[in-house]
Amino acid sequence: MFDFIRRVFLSEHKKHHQKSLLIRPEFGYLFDGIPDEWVSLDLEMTGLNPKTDHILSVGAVSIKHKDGVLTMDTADALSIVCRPPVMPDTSTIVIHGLRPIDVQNGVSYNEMLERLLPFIAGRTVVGFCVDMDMRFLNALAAPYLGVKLPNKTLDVSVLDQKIRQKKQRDPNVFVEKKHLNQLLKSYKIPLLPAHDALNDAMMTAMLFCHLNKNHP
Amino acid sequence: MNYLDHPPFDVLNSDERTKLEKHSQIVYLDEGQSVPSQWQGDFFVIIKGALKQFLADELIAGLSVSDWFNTTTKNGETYNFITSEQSLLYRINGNALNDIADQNPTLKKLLYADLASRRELQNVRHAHYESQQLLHQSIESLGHHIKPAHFVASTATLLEATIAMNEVHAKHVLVKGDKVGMFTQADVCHAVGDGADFDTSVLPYTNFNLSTIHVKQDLSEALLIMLERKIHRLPIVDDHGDIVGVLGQTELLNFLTNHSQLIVAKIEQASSLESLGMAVDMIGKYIRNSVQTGVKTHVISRTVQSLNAQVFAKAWSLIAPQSVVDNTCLFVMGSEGRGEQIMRTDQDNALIIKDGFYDANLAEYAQRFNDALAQFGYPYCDGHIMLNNELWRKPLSAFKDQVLSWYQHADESMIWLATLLDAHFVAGDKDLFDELMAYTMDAKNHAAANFINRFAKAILQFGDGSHFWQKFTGSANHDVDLKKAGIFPIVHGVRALALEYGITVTSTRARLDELEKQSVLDQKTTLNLKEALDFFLTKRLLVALATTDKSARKVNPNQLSALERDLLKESLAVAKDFKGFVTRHYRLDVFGV
Repeated sequence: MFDFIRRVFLSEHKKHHQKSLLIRPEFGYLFDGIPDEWVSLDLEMTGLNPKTDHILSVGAVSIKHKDGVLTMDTADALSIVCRPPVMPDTSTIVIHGLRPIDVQNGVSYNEMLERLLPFIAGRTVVGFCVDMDMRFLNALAAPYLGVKLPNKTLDVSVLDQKIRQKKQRDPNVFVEKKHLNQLLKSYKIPLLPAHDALNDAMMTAMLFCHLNKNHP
Repeated sequence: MNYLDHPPFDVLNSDERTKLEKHSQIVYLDEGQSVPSQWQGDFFVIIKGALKQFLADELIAGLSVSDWFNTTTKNGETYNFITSEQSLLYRINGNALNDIADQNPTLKKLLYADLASRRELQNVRHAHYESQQLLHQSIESLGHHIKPAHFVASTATLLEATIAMNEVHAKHVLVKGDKVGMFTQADVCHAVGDGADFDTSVLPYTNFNLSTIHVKQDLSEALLIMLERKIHRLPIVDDHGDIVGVLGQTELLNFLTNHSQLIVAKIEQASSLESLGMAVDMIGKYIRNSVQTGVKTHVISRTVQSLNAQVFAKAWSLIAPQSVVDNTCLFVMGSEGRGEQIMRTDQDNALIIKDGFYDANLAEYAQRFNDALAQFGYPYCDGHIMLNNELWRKPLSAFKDQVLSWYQHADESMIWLATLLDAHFVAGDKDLFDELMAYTMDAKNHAAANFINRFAKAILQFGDGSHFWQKFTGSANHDVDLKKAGIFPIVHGVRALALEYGITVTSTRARLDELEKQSVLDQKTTLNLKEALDFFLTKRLLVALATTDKSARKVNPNQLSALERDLLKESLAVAKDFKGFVTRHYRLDVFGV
């Protein structure tokens, strides 16, 4: 019991401490968790290393409880193309499909954050391998805010793995994570054209709604 | 990965699609790069960007998003592709695709077949779609194809019912009691076979178990009921359940085919220019209808040619007195003469006068004739090739002199000669026409030196630079002028060859058949030329039907489906190849004019 109180207190304290480090106090609301609301987020990057690679585009769509069901709000979705400091090269263009001419008129990273952060606010961030996206986002947000983003995260690949592990009677059998395309296929989520951040965010959101609907 | 869901890959089954996905990758090319030679033989779909297609340094086409291409032509030449902006391509392994195409003939046709069979395939799809459309019209739209309902009372005898049937020239009558029944000719046969007394009631031989159809239902419903229940006639009911008419299988089929016969009757019956105008309006409706039922364009245009000729003949007979009609000959020229006229475009017509015949009012009749046609919606000809112009209203001997001098001068007058070569008889004394045409063919022996080469030279008049090909560089919304880029080079090239080889038929298709017979062109070439011309005329027709652009010369490649755009490109390439053939054949590169 004491441990529990200490943990709660510590996390509150930590939150408070973190909040005091904000160099832009107007973003204080990021620390006010919004229960029962999520934002599905997907980034397209030039590669996998946050130190050397860059974000090219951002897609985000919010999910809320509406009349007792989870609903994605596609009308209010975010799709931002950014201008990276270095243009993508041929080897990665074929993966994300963004040509130099697609990104050269993109917005600056600061402008992207000014639009994305209010959109996320205190909501839980949902994604596929969401940690990777958060590492890239924090590489930009940390210098901008003075602290890393405090948002809770939820990874649909982990969520799905847990659900299937529960179903598996034999606890010694380890259930593998599945790739996004496999998941979409097995849950019959409609496929939107791939390699578009917003479409990926939407498919992830649909997957999240689907998994929650059957296993709240 | 849904690049494989679009034409031409929409004909793949899911196994084939999965297999093809395994042999595909996305590739990227920077601006101004050529498709590398080691990708030779592969097949590409453009995901993003635009490319230009060259054949031996000559710009053939521009390609944009969702277009597909492979690097070899059907006769084994290699195309060059250069990106006009940074491009993302879907690259499909050529060998894998060939394997699948070998199992899937539909895909093979779409990918590799000649223009002709490709067009046919698209037409089949198109016709299927269009006939579906036609079948979804309501019963009401049949209008006069619905027979009125004729009733006899339920107290009628077999004899009375049979007489009633004969009186209205029908194969059935409806019997009206508490319920409505139908008594048909087949029932008369039954009654006779049974040795029935014809003074007894009709009721035992009347079928009261009738299927009906509501006037707002689709034609397809009517057809289905007829097929399922094996019946030939369907009573049509309105909202009150009252029978308003009877739809027969014959009438339904008649409607689904064409009804040009009706227009012919209308033209023949016209007793004034005004009522003739109404018949002309029906021609427009007929065209629209035929297009919707997927009738081939050259078939429509031949029908329209004969309908138009009948309209002109009728108008001429309404305007000019009989003595004038008998002593002159009216004929049409240009596209109207070739039977390649679909929508009403410029009137090109002329009048030959029998030597020695004179009528003081001839000029006035001619003027009234041209005015009447303009009223009907056949605009005046810009070049004044009309019988109200004295140049085109002459005695036979004067006409002959005129033709000879055209041959000898070989200047701008060649355009008149070209027009005259496509002449088609309309009304009056046909001997005059035949004599003039025979003379026109003979007189070329007295033509100026190199006449035929200069005559053919016009094929280059729309610039030998490939400026209209630039319209095809995809990204900008440019229209392609079908007449300049496609129709004229084919028509005029064929016309020059026809003149050289003494071919007297006037339609381009018929000329091509003759040229093939005389081994001037090979079968493949003539087939592709016919198909290309048909494609251009069809496109022109569809543009005319869909827009207010009555001359309908422009088509915007970006408003076509990817497959249509591909056909347009192929057709333009056929026209261009032919232009090359004519240039070499007449040494046009050598003859400066």
